[in-house]
Amino acid sequence: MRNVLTIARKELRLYFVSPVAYAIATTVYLILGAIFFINVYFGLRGETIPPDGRIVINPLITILLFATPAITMRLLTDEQRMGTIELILTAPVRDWELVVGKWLGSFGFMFLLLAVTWVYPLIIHQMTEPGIDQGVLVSAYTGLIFMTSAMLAIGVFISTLFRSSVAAFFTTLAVFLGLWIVEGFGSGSGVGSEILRNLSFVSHYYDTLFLGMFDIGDLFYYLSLTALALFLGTQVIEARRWR
Amino acid sequence: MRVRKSEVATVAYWIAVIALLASGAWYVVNREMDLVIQIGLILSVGSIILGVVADPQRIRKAITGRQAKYGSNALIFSLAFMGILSVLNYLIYLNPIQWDLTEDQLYSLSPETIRVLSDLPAEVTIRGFYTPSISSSRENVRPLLDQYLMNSNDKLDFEFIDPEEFPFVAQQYNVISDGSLVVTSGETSEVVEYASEEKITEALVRVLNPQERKVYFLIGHGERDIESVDEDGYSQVNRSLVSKNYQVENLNLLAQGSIPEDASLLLIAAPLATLLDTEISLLSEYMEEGGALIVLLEPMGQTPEEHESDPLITYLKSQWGIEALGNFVVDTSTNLPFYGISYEYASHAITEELGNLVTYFPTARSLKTVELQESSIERIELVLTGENSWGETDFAAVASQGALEFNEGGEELGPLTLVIAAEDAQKDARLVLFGDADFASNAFFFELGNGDLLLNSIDWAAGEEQLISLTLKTTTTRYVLPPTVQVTGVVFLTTIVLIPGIVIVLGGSIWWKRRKQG
Repeated sequence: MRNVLTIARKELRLYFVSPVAYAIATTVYLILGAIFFINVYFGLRGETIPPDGRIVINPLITILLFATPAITMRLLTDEQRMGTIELILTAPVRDWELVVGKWLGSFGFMFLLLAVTWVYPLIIHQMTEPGIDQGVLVSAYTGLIFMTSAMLAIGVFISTLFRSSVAAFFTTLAVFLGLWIVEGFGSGSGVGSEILRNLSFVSHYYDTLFLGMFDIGDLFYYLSLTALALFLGTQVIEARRWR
Repeated sequence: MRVRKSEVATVAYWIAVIALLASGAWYVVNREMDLVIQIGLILSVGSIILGVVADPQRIRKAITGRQAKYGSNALIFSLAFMGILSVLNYLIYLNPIQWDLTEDQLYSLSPETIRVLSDLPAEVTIRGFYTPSISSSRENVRPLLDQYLMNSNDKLDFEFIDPEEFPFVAQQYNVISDGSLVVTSGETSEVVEYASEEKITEALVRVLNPQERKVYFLIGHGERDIESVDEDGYSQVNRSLVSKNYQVENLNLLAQGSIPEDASLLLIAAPLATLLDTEISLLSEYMEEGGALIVLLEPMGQTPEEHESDPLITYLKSQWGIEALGNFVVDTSTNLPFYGISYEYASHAITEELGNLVTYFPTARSLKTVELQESSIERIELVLTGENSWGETDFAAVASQGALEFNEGGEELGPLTLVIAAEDAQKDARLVLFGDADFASNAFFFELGNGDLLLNSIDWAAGEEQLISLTLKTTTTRYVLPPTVQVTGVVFLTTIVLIPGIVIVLGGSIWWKRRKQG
């Protein structure tokens, strides 16, 4: 477990010296800031601003769809391309500790990134009489964090498969988009449709957590995806030992 | 030429793969396990056997080799892990756990529903009939039904059925319109057409305590036929009532001589001949004792004298203060001038669920309330037409489809009243009078809100509306104070300058430091 934390801390520190992370953070905050400001600006001109703390969550999720692969793309591809993975594999670190550590590091970075976005609901809260619905906000953000966790885990898993970060980026993006649109194939009422619908990234969030319905099953879905992706990542790393 | 056995095996395996893929593709296209697929499968199995026989060494190596060992280990491990996660997810899916975190408890059931659910005496099943084309409304209903499930101590279950895939199941439960729910307990079931908490809980209460509810349709004067499947027949009304657990019967007042004791409601649908005075007195007696009556009147083209002497119209006017005018509603705002179109609904139990659904009334007459001396009767004009409508009295012009125009004097100008609900609180009698009967006939029953308007009226008059009244949810009104120029400025500085700025400065300084370190 200590190994996990060590790796996570190292990864987190790496983000703070890497230009990619700063570029992502700047982009996220600029876009969200602009969207938020436009809302307020229209309010100044007499239009009503929705009294809703989730004002930036929709665009945020769209950005995350692209930002997450960028954050995870180099996690294990770099190690494999530069050969440092051999060093790690021979060090007294278990494979799962490596994978989980990498994921935890990226999660830490993402958590900080998301934490700052609380600024926008806070501002809206200050402007709203008698304040926004806090429960909905808590539910929506908890869901968002769990969703991000699953996306990062998938990104980590895919980065174990490639040496090239570009390949990892696009494959991760493709998997996300797949999970995004899979619901569309599940409109029927048969068992197959039901399964497809329950694989969807979107419905597990927007139908419950986003609305303020704190659904344990949906959180468990994202947890399961996280666990599964990290498990598969570990299997791939382990396969290096016997392939 | 000598062929090496290992090459034969390679080719055989390739053939097996190709045959398998081809049969798969064939199946995707034809969706049938036909001869081609059988041949393909036999071919691929045969080739695999051929490959094994030709080069057994390779198979042995593949099975017992080191890679195979670890590989299959990893595969089984992964599959098992996936399996465990799927089962756990499925279990949670079956037994949902949710908390409503909204401040106003928007998604929680009302205490009344929870009370009904907490001691269900029997197993209840709710079946939702939704075609894939309205899958989004199906998914909108799911959270509500999840709430029912969670509060029912495992006594209630629900499932969704595609009525196009299983038409017989839909028929068995008398499902008529897409997006209906059927609440079933034991032998009794009831169709719910609005998937709202109120309607579902009402149906639940009724299904658990089945009572006879009889609707009698008056016959003998050329009324609409509840058996007739013709365009002007009322068979859809009949079916819908049966699906809502009403018993429907015809009533010949002249032959029977009285209105049966068990009548929940009497319905008179467009009599062509006038009712007799004896019938009217029976009707009046029935209403005096707290009856429920629905009258649908078509424009008759009567002369003023005939109109004055029509006993039914006289009864409604003198006892209930509602006059059915001897006119013909014309509305020039659409290209169907003989269709009375609803522009406005009064706020009433009958119309509240119609929302913004329009109802329209082909060939209608308008109604009017008249003053009553000291009466406990409350009358509400439910459906009003638009301002471009008027009550045409020149029936000859209507018949010849000649030029129609509003004439001052004698003709009423819109908005005209098409439906009036009246309630006598003292006698507990209820009446709904319609200036049209066609809107609920088979041809128009499913159009927009038409069928619902009649069914809601029947529910209301029979006293079935608001079997339980749910505690109203209070929603906090929130509004964002319009920002001042200063606030906007602060927001600009924080969100667009400060936050991204800090990130850029931080990034820049680190870049600078690293550059110096070289």
